Amino acid sequence: MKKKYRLCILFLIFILAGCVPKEIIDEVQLIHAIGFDKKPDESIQGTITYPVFNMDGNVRVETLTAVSHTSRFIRSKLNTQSPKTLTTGQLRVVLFNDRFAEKGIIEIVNSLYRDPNVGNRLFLTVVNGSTNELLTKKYTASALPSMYLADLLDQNIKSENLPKTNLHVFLYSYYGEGMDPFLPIVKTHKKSIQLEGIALFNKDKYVGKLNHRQSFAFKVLLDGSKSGNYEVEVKKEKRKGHAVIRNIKGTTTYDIKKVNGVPQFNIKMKILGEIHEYPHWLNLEQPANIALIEKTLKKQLQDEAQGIVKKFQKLKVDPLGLGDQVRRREKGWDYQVFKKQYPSMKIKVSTEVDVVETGVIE
Amino acid sequence: MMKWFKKKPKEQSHTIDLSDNTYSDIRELVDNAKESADFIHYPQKTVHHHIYISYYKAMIDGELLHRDLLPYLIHSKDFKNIKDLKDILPIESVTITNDIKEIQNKLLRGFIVVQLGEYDEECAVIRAENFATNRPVSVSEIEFSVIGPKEAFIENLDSNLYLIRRRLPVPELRFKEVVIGKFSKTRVIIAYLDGVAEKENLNTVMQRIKDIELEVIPDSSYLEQIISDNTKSVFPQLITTERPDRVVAMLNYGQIAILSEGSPQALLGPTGISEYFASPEDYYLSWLLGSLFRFIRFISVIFSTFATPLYVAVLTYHYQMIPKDLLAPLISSRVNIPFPPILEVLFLELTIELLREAGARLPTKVGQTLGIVGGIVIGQASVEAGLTSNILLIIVSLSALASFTTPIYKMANTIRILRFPFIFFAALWGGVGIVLAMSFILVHLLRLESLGRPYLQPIYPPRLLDMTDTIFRLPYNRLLKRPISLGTNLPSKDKVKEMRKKKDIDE
Repeated sequence: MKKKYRLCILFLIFILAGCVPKEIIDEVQLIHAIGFDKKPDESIQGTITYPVFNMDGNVRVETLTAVSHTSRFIRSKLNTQSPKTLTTGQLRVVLFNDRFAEKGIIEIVNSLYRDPNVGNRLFLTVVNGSTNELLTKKYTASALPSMYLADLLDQNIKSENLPKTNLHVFLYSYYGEGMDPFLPIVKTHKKSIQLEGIALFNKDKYVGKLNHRQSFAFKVLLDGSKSGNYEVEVKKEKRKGHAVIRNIKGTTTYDIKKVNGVPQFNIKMKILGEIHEYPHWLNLEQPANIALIEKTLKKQLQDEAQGIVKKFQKLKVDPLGLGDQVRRREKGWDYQVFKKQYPSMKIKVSTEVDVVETGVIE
Repeated sequence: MMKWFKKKPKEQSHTIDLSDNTYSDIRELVDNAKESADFIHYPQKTVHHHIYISYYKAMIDGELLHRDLLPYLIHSKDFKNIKDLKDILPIESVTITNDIKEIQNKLLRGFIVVQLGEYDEECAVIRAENFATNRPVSVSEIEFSVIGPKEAFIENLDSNLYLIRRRLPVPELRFKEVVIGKFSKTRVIIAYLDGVAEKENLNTVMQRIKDIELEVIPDSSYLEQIISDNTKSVFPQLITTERPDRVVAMLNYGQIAILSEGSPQALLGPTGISEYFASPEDYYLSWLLGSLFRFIRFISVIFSTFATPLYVAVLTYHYQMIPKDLLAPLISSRVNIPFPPILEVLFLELTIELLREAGARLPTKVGQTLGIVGGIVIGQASVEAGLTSNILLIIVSLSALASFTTPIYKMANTIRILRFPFIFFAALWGGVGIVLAMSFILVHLLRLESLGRPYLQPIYPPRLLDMTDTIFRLPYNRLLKRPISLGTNLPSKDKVKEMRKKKDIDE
């Protein structure tokens, strides 16, 4: 008899448990990208793009815009214009326009990471200009600006000068003590989107940026890297030209000494590179010429790295996580003290360059 | 309350108990037998007597009667007494008896009865069974293999026993006979290698077989279902095979085979689940290839069970996990489909099941055309009509294909059915539902036994040494002679080491 009751209850569970909300893939609207612009009256303009798939496999992009004060209510307002429920499960990119980013982005980022539908590998990007314009423009590279942007960032992380960045990395450096977050910064450029460089953040506020050239040194300094290209100016006997070195393996070591309670940094950058392109008058079969390129690169890269570190100190941001480097080595480290000492700290960068390949010429 | 659950009292059966219905005397037996058209009972004049010869016409070998029996009976001058027949006839099996039960049984099995008077109590019973109507041993069709022996069992028990005995010519191969079936009097042989098969397993089989109370046993599958440990399970608990080579290999492993008269299939037990996915070819090919193909078979079983449930779960609940490049083909193929994924999947799965069932019922040649018509025409048409998405069509046909790779037909059928509960759970609770259904199946498998031995072994309880022939088949010098999970003694470490030594061929 007891068994029969159990069976009954099991049966009831089956017929009464149809309450899990369904989100059938072709019956929801998959938001691919959201852009946030600050209006002159301080309200937020949200722009979303979502793909519309046709039966023949073609994709069309649709954009919707709404103005409000919070990101969640913007979505609610957008829903009033959408034929299907808007969902964030396939969100790939979130864009902030530079004016918006200057005021702080944590409220929106916070709401994103508490949404279980949103993945941690989402890209956050600062846009130099209007996000609405960037998302509504037609591009020749891809039918979907959102996919275009996501692929662009992904590709640049893998093979170019952009360090690894996504929602998780942002949150880690935002909440971690002794480091500040950074994001990529993009702009529209004729019929394409262009990665400008790296946007530096003080906590959640956008304060300055590095250009594409500077981000090479930044990427190596940050975590070492196995990608990126760097252009140097070579001079020899009144002749001038440019050479491009591709990074094969860049490593960085941090040496920290404490003098009178103030940490002093000695950062050693080591680059194994390959000469990609060089002035035709420079004969690479002579080791002296390779040594010349090495020397020039060493000098220029050192200046570049020293320059961006100076810039960080001036802006009082720490995207390299120098504070974290100290914290790792020290007991009872105080972030507030470090912050005060940071702008005047002695930070020395030295570089070492080793050209190990010159392509197929020998 | 819940009266509707209560079982109704069993109705008493009113069938006559034919098995014990032996006639009291020879007169009654002959008179009753005459009611059948194929019973012959006629007087024959010999040198000294008028004898009576009786037999069932269809059951005896007519040529034997004419060539080896009648000439001696009619012309022999030594034939004075019924007991003289033993010396006169050139047949080894001649018994003189007045045991009415024995006479009746033998008469029905193709013996010829000779009496001096029409209703004489003392009869000579002469063996003359008819073997001519037996199908010859033919190529195995259900468990086909490219390499290796092609012989398959037939409906005649004795030739099946021959196929086994020929491969194991040792006295340790024992055939124990049990006759079951009230009406059918089916001979059932329990075959095992004495000293190899575990006594406990043997006793289990003997006791279960002897307890069977059926009237007719048309096939060994009846036996399988009755002696299975859990008759409510969808999983087969004994291997059904038509290959004598498989039976011999398994007898050597210490398993017990059950063969029954009239059935071209032998049962093997106790078994573990992995054996159902082992094909004889795994052993005939080199161990690398054998292992690889076996691994592919395992993968295909997993694919076949989980492909469509995952499709339902992902498209209904977990659109987040679809990679961005897969979004476009998935969505654009579903744009025009009016059904939710569950209905779409059920529609296609049922179509495939329908095709399979129809194909199995039809003669081979018609079946082939049916497969083509069904597979190509219906599939393509339903995609074009917007009833199913073409991605699903690929998934469903692949998983149907994958389920055919299982070598044991009964297991293949189980795999075929197994995906339906998964589909329903996936439609109800998505990925969580699949995990839940998987848990139910795992718990069931853990509790399942085959002739009292765990069904999941050697995976659980783990028997590491047996794993050499489970998901992979290692080379023969790495294999144990027989699995420990069948109850044979654990080999010593030295013995294992010795076994692994490569023996030099030149020595």
